[in-house]
Amino acid sequence: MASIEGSLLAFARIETAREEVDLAALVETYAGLLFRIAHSVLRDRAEAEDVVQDVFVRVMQRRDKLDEIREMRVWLVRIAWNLALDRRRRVRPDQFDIGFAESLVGAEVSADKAMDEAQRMAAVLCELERLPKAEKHVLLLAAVEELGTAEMAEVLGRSESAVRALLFRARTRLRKRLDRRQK
Amino acid sequence: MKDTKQAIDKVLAGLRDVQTPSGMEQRVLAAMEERAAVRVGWRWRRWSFGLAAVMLVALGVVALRPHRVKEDVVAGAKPGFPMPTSVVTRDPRNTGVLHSVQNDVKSRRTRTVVAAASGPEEVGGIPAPPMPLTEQERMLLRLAHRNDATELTPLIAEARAKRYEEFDAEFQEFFAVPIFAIDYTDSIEDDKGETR
Repeated sequence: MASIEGSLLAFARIETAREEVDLAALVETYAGLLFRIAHSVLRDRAEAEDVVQDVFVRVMQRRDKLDEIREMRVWLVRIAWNLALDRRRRVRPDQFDIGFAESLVGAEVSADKAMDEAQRMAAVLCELERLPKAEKHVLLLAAVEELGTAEMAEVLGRSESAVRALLFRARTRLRKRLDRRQK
Repeated sequence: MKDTKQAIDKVLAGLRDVQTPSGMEQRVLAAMEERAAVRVGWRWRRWSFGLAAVMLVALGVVALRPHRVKEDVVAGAKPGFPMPTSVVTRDPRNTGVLHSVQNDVKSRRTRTVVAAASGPEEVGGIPAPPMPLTEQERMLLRLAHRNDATELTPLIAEARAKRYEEFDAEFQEFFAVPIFAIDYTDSIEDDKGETR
């Protein structure tokens, strides 16, 4: 009986080790991209890292279907994207935006100038959040600059032309709103 | 206008150039290993439960098999030969005493199995009528009931009382006082006088 248990345990360990090798390769390859995707939505490093962990937990849960996935990169980005959006609904993102805006200001400028600059960045982020949802999503995904138009279209479930149009409109609308705010 | 564009570009560049936290991959892998260990434990337990269930089923089958074989033997002893509902058997515990299986508890199961085996004969839950006895069974019955009257007599009160009366009458008749008395006096005088 003990030998049977030992064999079963050894078999399970071998199987787990093989899965871990594959998953480790996935983590090494895509963790950075997924972190940036999640961070573009959440603007908080700890929250973004949690999202990355959640993504790979989901991957582990569906490891037996990994062979059926055609576009691993797009599939992972879509999971991270949805998890990040879901998490943003549950947390208070305003505090994260202020912290991120302050992080964008260089350390070499004076305190007064740094404060003005941080406020400007916070205003941009505020207006970005007020954009229509589709435009905001396209703009955030495009900001990462690691996804092509086709990949963005697949993640968002839209056509490539729609993504291009949304991106153009998002930039224009954001600029106009910020100009209006400054006046 | 230019400042606005610069501010937008700076924010988007900040989003693009954000650095991955150092050691994030290791933390993610550690978390996954932890989850995988939990899953391995659960998988091993599942295998154990499965194995235990299979062993229990096997034990159950082994435990039930002799009864089933016995029933099969009874049900299919002679294919095409109708099994009688009343079968006379010899009780192995009490040699020499024959009894009918009809009154035996075990025979009920036998009859049930026989009825189930007969299948189409049972219509609407009504059992089929008993089959006629074979020649051998009739012989066994005759053998069993050969001395019934003699054996049952001591058990019947009236017959027993009648038997006692007969016995008593015979006894009285044999030992009763004779009607004429024997005259012993003559014989005494003969002894004294010696004249005769």
